[in-house]
Amino acid sequence: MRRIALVEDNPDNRLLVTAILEDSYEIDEYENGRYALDGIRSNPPDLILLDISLPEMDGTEVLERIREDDDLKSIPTIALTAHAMTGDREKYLSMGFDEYLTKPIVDETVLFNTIHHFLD
Amino acid sequence: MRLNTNVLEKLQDIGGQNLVSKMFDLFEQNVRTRLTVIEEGIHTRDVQQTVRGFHSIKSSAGNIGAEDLMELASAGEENAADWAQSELKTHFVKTKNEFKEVVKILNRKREGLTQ
Repeated sequence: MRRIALVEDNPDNRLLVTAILEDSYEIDEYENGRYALDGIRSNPPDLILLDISLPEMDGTEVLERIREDDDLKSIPTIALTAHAMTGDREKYLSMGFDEYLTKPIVDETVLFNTIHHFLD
Repeated sequence: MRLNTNVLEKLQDIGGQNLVSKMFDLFEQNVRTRLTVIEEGIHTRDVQQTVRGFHSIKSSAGNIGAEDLMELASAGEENAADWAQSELKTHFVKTKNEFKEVVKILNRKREGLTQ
């Protein structure tokens, strides 16, 4: 089973995303950026779902560290965020995210299709 | 107080009553914690802490379809970023009151889930 790292500080968001994906993917949950970087480095996943607004180190900084690391830089990384203002999509894609999805997740097929695009 | 029943039905479809019940519990816990964080942030004029608190409430409210609470938290997030102190305090009180209303509805829904 392919493995996805879910980096998200809100426990309800982690529960919901895991409930949607757990029958199809193995999910590694991380509640902040530092834990995520440690876990991703020691056990690289096939894809990363990365929240932007995280404590201590936000999602954009986590992404920078991932892209600086030769072993991790090619892992597809999707911004999963409640930042949904006009222009946010372009902003986050220009920062190096491979895709951008907004919360709340109103249609889980969008999440599945996006993941399929990178993994299948 | 608007609670989008389509969102609750979607949760039910994804994970049944067990998921709905857990989502209600986590929503309540998270928003209570974040309200305390926001109150401290306003008191200490910590912009980041206050913005993040509202942002988290917006996200949690969206997960259970609490649309008015989501809108209030979104406006609070913007007020905090601009640090409009008096509006921010008003927004905080409105958000807190709306949360209490949502909890009342969730408690009624919980009774329905256990019947």
